[in-house]
Parts: sequence; C-alpha cells; structure tokens
Amino acid sequence: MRQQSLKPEQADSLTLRLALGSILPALLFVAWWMGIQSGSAVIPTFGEVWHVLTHPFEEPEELNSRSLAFSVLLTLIRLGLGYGLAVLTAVPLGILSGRHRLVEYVIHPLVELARPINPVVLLPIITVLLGISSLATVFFGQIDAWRYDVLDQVQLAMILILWYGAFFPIYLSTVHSVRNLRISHLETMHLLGAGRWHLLRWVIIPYTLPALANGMRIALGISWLVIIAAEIFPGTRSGLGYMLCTACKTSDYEYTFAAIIVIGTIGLLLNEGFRRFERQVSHWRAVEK
Amino acid sequence: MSGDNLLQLRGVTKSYLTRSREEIHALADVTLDVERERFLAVVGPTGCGKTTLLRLIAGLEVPDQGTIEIGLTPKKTASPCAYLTQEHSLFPWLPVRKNIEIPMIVRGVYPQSARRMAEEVAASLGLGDYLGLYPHELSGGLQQRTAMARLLTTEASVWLMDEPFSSLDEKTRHALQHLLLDIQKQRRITVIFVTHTIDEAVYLADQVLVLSANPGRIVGSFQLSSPKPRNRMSEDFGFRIEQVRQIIERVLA
Ligand SMILES: Nc1ncnc2c1ncn2[C@@H]1O[C@H](COP(=O)(O)OP(=O)(O)O)[C@@H](O)[C@H]1O
Ligand SMILES: [Mg+2]
Repeated sequence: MRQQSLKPEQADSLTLRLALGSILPALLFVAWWMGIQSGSAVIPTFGEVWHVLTHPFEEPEELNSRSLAFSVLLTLIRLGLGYGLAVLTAVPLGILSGRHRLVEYVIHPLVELARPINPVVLLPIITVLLGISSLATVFFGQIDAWRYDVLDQVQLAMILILWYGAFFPIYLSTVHSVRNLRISHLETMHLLGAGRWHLLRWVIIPYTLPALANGMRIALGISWLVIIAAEIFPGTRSGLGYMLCTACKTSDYEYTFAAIIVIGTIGLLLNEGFRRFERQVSHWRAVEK
Repeated sequence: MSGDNLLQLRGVTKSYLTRSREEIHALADVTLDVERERFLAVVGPTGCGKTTLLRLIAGLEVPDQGTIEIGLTPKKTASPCAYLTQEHSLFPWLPVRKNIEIPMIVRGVYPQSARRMAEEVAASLGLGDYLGLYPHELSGGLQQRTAMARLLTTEASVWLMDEPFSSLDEKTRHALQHLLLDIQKQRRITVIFVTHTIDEAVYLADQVLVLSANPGRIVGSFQLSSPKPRNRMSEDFGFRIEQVRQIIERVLA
C-alpha cells in the first residue's frame, strides 16, 4: 500500500503559490477583455480604468464625487472608528461574560436576538433617528475647513452600523475562548496570589489572543462589506461605496470598475495583514492542532 | 499546633456528587500529621482520593468535615503551598523564561532581579539552553524540569506533587527524582508526593502513606529511615517495596 501522509500537504514555494493563485484572477481579466471586445457601453477599457487608478487625487469633474484617494480615506476613517469602537467594547465585555456567568446571562439573550439582523437593514432607521449628525456636529467647535470637511462626512449612523456588524464575532469569540481556559491555569495563578491585573495580563489575554485575532479578522471582513453597502444609502456624499454607486448613475463606469478593484484589493490586504497577526499570536498552539 | 508539625489534618472528609446524584466518598475521616521538612509519599489505587487530598491541602477544595491547619504564616496573598501535576502545569503561551519568572512577577519582584533569578534557577536545573523555547517545543522531562524551576521561584515551603513524573520514561524519571531530593535537602521544603509507583515512593520518601478506595482512607503508614539517596539494588530497598506491595494487595483484595 502506498504511504499517505495524514498531515495537510506541505506548503510549496511562494512562486508556485503565486502562479497558481493568479490563474483565476487572470481568467477574470480575460472575461473583462471579451466584454470590451463585445462593444458593450457598460464595460470600460483597461486604459480608462488604469487612468482612474493612477490618478487618485484627480477630482472627477463629470462625477458628483470627490477624488478616489479622498473616498478611500473617508471609507477607512469610518471603518477604523466603527471597528475600533467594536473592538474596544467587545473585548472587555467578552472577558467579563466569559468570567462571570451572571454577566453572560444578562448579555446573551440580547446578543443572540440582535446578531442575526443584518446591520445594513438597520441603517435607514438609524439614519432617521440620528439624522445626518456627524463627528463634526458632535465633538468639535472650531476647526479648519479641511478637517471639518472630513469629520462632517463621518456620520454617526455609519459608525453605529459598523460597530453593530463587528461587535458580535469579536464578543462571541472572546467569551468562548475565555470560558475554555483550563481551570488548572487559573488555580496556578490563585496559589501564587495573583490579583486581577496579573491574571488578565499573563493568563486570560495571552490565552484568548489567538481566538480573539480570529474573531477580529472575521469582524473586519464583515465591517468592510457593511461600510461599502452603507455608503450606497442616501445621505452619503463620499466614500468608495458612494463613488461606485454615483458613477453607475452617471454611466461613468470606469469609476465603478476602479472602485470595485480598490475595494477588493483593500479587503485582501486587510485580511492578509490580520492573518499574519493571527499566526503570530497563535504559534504556541502549534502542538494542539 | 503541636510540636514540629507543619500540617495537621483532623477528620477530613470530602464527598462528590456524580451526575446521577450518587455520592462518592473521595476521602473519609483522614487524620494526618506531617512534620516540617518531611518527604511524604502517598500511594493507592486510582480513585482513592490522592488528588483530592492534595487539592484540599492546597486549599483548592474545601473539606465537608474536619480541619486542615498549616503551621505557617502565609506570605502576603500567596499560598504556602505549591502544586504540581502530571501535565498542563506550564503556561503554553509563555516561553520557559517567563514561565519561571511568573511567581516573581506576581510577587512584584523587580523585573531585572526576576530575570536574573530565573536564569540562575534555570541554569541550576540544566535549563539554561531552553529559556527562549515554548513548552510545546520541550520533551516531557524538560517540561517537568521547567515546572520544578517555577516551584523554586515561589516562596512556597510545601510542595504538593501529583504524580509529577508518571508520564516520563524511566531514565528521565530517575534523574528528576534525584533532582527533587537535592532540592528538598537544600531548600528544606516539605513534600507531599502522590504516586502509583511503589518504587518511586520507597526511593523518595521518609514516610509512605497507603490509601484505600471508596471511601478513601488511610490504611497503612510506613517510616523509612535509611539515608538518601537510596540504592535501588540494596536488600533493604527490595524488602521495603515488598512490604508496601503486600499491604496494597491486601487492601485491594
Ligand atoms: N470534581 C469531582 N466531581 C465528582 N467526582 C470527583 C471529582 N473529583 C474527584 N472525584 C471522584 O472522587 C474520587 C477520588 O478522586 P481523586 O482524588 O482524583 O483520586 P486519585 O487521585 O487517587 O485517582 C474518584 O472516584 C473520583 O471519580
Ligand atoms: Mg489523581
């Protein structure tokens, strides 16, 4: 009988991975090229899209939108704030719930009730509630025009929606992981006379980090979907989603294509970055897998 | 607390309820005195309450009845007892160095001193080359060595050891037994050592306690006074092993 390894196949060289990984994206380009050849009015040429991508600071005159770079900046600011807020709230709450049953009893039902609701469908009602108030309306008195311009476009409704989308995966992975911690590790710290801070710093947080990183990566993926979708809603005047949508309305499809490519690329980079982080904080689990 | 006794158990009883609400008498009416700087070995069949006994002494469980007194003033919040099990005692997310430093970090030892101290202890246990490795990168023997290094950086004077060498091969086990005897002599600690290997008990202990199962109670106690380290080949050694074995067989029958 042939010897068969039970382990997953060993990783091959980077070149091979890149070569194999480019096959399907290349096919996509072929499809695009065939679309161009068919003479469809909807499909822009490579050159047009390339021009948009290589001139990110150009304010498109024909389009009721800001430059590509400004759109990316705004989308990332919204993402950073909403997602950051989710991390800052979900991690402490997750640890609390994981450690104290009573806290979990309070939080769990609402979490399970709210979790299946797609955050984007809440956007209209939240927009009605919060109006178009933005960071500029809430926090700042006098600031220079450029900053006001940016802050005014970070709508609270969007931050809330992003927080909503990112909170659950982070919270749930934290709770689950904290609960799985071996009691013997807690007992070791107890016998050493460790207080809360040492327990958190040396046991709970490092133990939870791999699961947390995984939850954070999933949450980031969700946030990226949510923010682009949210920017398509009325009430927005900027962002990648807005640019994509507006360009469609005015038939400037090269901007739509460029926005799609940028969205995909940023999504990929965010995911890869996080995967690396995840691997780094998980190395000590190598043997348990 | 009388005389030189460090540890006094009086009528200690502990039961557990199983899922089917059956009561298991893990320990029944255990009375025991342990003198300072003694090496006590506890042997007995699986399920006779050996682990329960150690956990009660460590304060990780509370007895249903009876009292446990330790004649030591605890230092700040740390327990006077250190507890070592067969596996999973190290923190897998910390390298050897930090695992050894943890008791000192918790005590608030100045980081530089903790670092130096950890290096010294590691060197004395032959762990000098492994400070940067993680537990899963170590053999079982080195893992238990690291765990013992961590006990050394606590200020505990009672070491509760629950079959710490059971999963090791014979050569490694003998090396660690030897090491433990050295440590006990130098640090003048009191050791309560659970094992299911009679040879290990007779090699290490000043006193061997035999427990019976269900309910767990003390059914025999031997003093062993020959000097350590003992010669496994000697006639006396073989005789002692036979003596303990007979008691255990009688209990199990
Ligand atoms: N937490 C627990 N819940 C229920 N039963 C337990 C628990 N801990 C121990 N026991 C039972 O108590 C008895 C003694 O256990 P233990 O002290 O672990 O014995 P030993 O270490 O000698 O094998 C066993 O029958 C065991 O099943
Ligand atoms: Mg046991």
